[in-house]
Amino acid sequence: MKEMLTTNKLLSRLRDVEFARLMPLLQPVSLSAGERLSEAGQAARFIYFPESCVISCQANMEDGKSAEVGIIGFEGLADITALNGSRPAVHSLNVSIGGSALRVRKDDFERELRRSEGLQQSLLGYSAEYVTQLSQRSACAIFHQVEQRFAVWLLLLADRIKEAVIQITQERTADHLGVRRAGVTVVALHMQAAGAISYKRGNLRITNREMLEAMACECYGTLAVDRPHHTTYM
Amino acid sequence: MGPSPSTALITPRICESLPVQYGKGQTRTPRPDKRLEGFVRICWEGVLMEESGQFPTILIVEDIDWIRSSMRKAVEREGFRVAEARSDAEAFEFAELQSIHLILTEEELPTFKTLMTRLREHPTFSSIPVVIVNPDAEDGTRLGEAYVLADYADISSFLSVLHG
Repeated sequence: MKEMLTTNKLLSRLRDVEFARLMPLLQPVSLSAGERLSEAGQAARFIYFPESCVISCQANMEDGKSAEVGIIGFEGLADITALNGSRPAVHSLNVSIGGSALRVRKDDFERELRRSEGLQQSLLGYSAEYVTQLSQRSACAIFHQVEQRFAVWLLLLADRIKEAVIQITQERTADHLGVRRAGVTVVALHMQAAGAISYKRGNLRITNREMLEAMACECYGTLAVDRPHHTTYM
Repeated sequence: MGPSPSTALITPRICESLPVQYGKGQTRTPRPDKRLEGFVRICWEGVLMEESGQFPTILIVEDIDWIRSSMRKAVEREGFRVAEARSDAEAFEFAELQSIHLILTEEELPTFKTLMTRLREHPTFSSIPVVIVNPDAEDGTRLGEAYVLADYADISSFLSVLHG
């Protein structure tokens, strides 16, 4: 029943009674790629449960540079760090891949969280997953090359949208990876020449998933959620 | 031993089948490129050169080492001779010493604006085309006075059009 109402895993795995209490508070929203959901320095108003969209948690530096520190899809909620009372957010939330989500007012969600042990347990499990993601990606950014990180990031996106075609420009990719656009271009063209991807003006297609996984570093093994059984897209 | 244009003339057809030495001992066979009408390629003892006896040289201006190195590989794959500079100052030093057919750079280079201004105002170097590769750009896009191409593979046809 719950699976028919939402594809968000965190919600669909709640007990029926907890889901039933939360459901009237959830508002379906359609999010567009590039949309900014919350700003660093401000308290979040909503908690988002992605369904088909992917949300990026981004660190923005004073000189205008930015980099993605966390990626959130159907497996989680954005942003778990907002559940800290009224303290302002450290990072901003941006939509990487447009699609559907359910959102709830933060105050309402925190009230439900206080009285629902099942919801607390569920969030505790997700917190552990999210911290694992953040810490692994920190190590990845230190030890691994841009091509490996780019390959991991594409696989993480593809696993969340369950498609081989990713609508993203190289300029936005650069913002996510924290590198210059020209750096993304040389890496993407090399991946394209190798046959792993094809790219044309904002449309990136994974043409050989097996090859892309081979280009990725070991971090993908730690970070993968719902990794598809097949390794090559048709 | 350097090439001698008088004895080095081999038809482009033969040139296409000969392996060419690039960079750090990498050898490959240049692929035929019918679009490159402005530069008749002549091969002699593994050296690629123009009909005039000058090497077609692309100067890469990029301050980040790994991006510059990746650009170099991409451009060398297209069969061009490559020189590197990390800033506008280094680019001008090189240009004073050797002729350049094209400058390849990127818009986020910290000295990009200075580079473009200095080139525009220079009596000799103002004619050197500056190219940025950005696959997101529409065909024919310009960034100020820089040309924007979708791929490094487009540099050959760009030069052939530019040189008529």
